[in-house]
Amino acid sequence: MDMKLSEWLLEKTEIIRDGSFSSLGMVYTRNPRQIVCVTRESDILKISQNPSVSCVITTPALVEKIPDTIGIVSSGDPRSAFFALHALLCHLPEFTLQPFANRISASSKIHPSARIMANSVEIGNNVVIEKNVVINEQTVIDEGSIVRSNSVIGCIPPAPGGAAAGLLSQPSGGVHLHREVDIHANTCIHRALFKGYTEIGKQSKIDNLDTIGQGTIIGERCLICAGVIIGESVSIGDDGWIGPNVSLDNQIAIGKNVYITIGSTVTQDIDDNKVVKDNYALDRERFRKVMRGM
Amino acid sequence: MILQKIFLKLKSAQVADSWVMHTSAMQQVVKTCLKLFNFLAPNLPFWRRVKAGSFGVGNQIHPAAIIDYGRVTIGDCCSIGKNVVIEKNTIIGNHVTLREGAVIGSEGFELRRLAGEIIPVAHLGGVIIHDNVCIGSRVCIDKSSFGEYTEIGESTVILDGVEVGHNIKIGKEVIVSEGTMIGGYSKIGDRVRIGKKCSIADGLSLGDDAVIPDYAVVTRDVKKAS
Repeated sequence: MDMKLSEWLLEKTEIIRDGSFSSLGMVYTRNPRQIVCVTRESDILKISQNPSVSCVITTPALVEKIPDTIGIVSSGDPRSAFFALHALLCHLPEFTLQPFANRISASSKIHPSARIMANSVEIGNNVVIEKNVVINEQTVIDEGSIVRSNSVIGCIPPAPGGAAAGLLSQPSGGVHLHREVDIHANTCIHRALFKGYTEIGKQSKIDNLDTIGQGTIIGERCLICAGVIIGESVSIGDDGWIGPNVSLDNQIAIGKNVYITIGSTVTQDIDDNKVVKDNYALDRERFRKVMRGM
Repeated sequence: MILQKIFLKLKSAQVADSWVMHTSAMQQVVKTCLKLFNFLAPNLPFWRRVKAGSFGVGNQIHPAAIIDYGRVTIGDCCSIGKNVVIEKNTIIGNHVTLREGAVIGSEGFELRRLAGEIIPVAHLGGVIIHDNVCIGSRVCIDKSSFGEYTEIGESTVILDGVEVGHNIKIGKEVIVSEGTMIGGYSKIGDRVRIGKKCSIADGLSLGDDAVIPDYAVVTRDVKKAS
């Protein structure tokens, strides 16, 4: 269903160019005909490369730089306007995942102290769920995965940063753990805020005390060490290594085969085959040669 | 013990970086061996190494704590908080405090990337917590691989949200502050003080009386303070 921007005029916003949209999303997501929120100048290149963006909520300063084919709403505080729009739309069936009856495989081992919600949970074959785990609605766990003690899968993300105070976050997405994913103790994985899933790829392993933000998509065979905090809507390629105590900023893309060393803080996009030391991205093959020469 | 020595040799830089280990045939061999080990380890009684558990007197244990009774040894006068999970092969001394949400003896993060797949290494060891130790809430202490024990020395204090990796030996009277992550195979001496949010890489040794400030990233050995 297509929504016209002019039908959903919010307070303190101005429509510069009318357009239509059928889903909400972030700069990296590929939801069909999505409306996104742009606050940084670096995001403009990304939306021009992303064909599924059809409308944008942005600041007055960035209006002129948006490509011609995209509908524009300008607002002094685009983030709160965007989440206010989400709060209006999340009650419509087109903008949220539909509930279904629980499908829990008989071959999965679930500890009696684990708490699984009464609907919209799918658990595949040979899944192991350990002590005190909480699994919320709209969670899909594929076969062979393990969720260890005291973890929370599908917890409700905190009220969006920069949004108006008192605006509760109402998630309409879920969490999808692919095959042979291993989630260790005391880890939190947030539900996606928009229709879609927070995804963790095949054979990825996530260590203790991690927090994975809403809408994050992690590739296959990634190793994520203890204490990592991943912001919202981050995309991580295959075969990555993320060291202990790393924090990743919101809405960044990390390529394939990237090695992020211990204690780094990443605030920019990282290309394929790089090593990140503190705040610097280096070529991985060259770095390895230098280290061997020492 | 022999298996552990072989495994550590395979992990070491000289062997792991050599061209022999990068050939596909060698990767397949190691992968098959690891898969076989992972399959046999939990099933054969020879590997299981489970001691019969025992319980002391005067323990205060919250009813919501989940303890693998029968395979956990707990001393006298311990206090164990709500939602604490204690897995098998754990030995806890006298006067130990475990606060809410701590997870003792969960699986370590020891994984090998072989021939385009990630193979975990089954952990068969346990955790020893000596007398007068205080462990804060949401602390995770992983068990050791190959039948060894992760050790926390006497009178050590570990504050909230700390991750203690597998095969770690922590000495006496150590203070580990909030949010610190300690990688696997590290040895920490006596009376060491570690600040908040530190990251300590794996395979290091920190000498006695060392002081590590807040937010430090440690990637080399630290000598004993003189």
